[in-house]
Amino acid sequence: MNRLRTTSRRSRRLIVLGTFVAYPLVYVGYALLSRAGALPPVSLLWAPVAIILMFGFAAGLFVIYAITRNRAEPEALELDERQRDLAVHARALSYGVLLAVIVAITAAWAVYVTTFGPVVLGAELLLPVAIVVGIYLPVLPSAVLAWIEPDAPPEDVAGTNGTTSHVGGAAG
Amino acid sequence: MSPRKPEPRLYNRLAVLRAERGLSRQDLADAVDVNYQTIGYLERGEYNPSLELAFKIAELFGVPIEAVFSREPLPPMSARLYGRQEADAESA
Repeated sequence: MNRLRTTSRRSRRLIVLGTFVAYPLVYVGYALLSRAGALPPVSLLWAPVAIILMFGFAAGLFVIYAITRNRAEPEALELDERQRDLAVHARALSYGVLLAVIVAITAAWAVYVTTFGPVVLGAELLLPVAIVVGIYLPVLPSAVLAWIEPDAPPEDVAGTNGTTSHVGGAAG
Repeated sequence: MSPRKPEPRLYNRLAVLRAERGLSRQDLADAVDVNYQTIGYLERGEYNPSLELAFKIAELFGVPIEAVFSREPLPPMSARLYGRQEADAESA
């Protein structure tokens, strides 16, 4: 767990990106295969890929929560001022991301409806919508925090007893 | 996700003061009630402390706040001490 907390920002961003892309990829891949009228063997080949993507999605969620734990909650009492500042920033960015996604979906919807006609929403959309509302939304502040948090100071990665190196580092 | 406007850099002598007293980051963090990583970010100049935290740190080391934090790069303490001794000798 401690190792997860000191994961580099680059790795954290890859995990966040992978987690948020994996689940939609399952549907996009399946939709493309269905539209192309793929033969059963091709569809069978997609099944393991879909399982891997779903596993990656679930594992990614776990890792994001493990990295940020309760640090994405600005109200958490155990946070210090820097952590609280980061959590507030992450929450504000989450709202921005959410707003951008809603605007993009609405715009795409409007373009589709005016170009191709009405969109029929079937029951098969229930699960994706439930996943988005029930999983993506709650994890968004944690994911944004994992995305924006700077790398931990080098000595903290190795341990907490940095007494002599960096002496005068920021002192100029 | 655009980054925030960067805060003006605050220079500090935290690492020197901590090393002089043989304190680890964890010791200092415990004493001023912050996470040990926050001390690392402070030392690297990547986080500017609140006034309260800055005062807590200065009081812990028993020095004025401007001896710990500065908006200008801080000269090495040894040079400052040595320079003062020379000036005292000259005036005497």
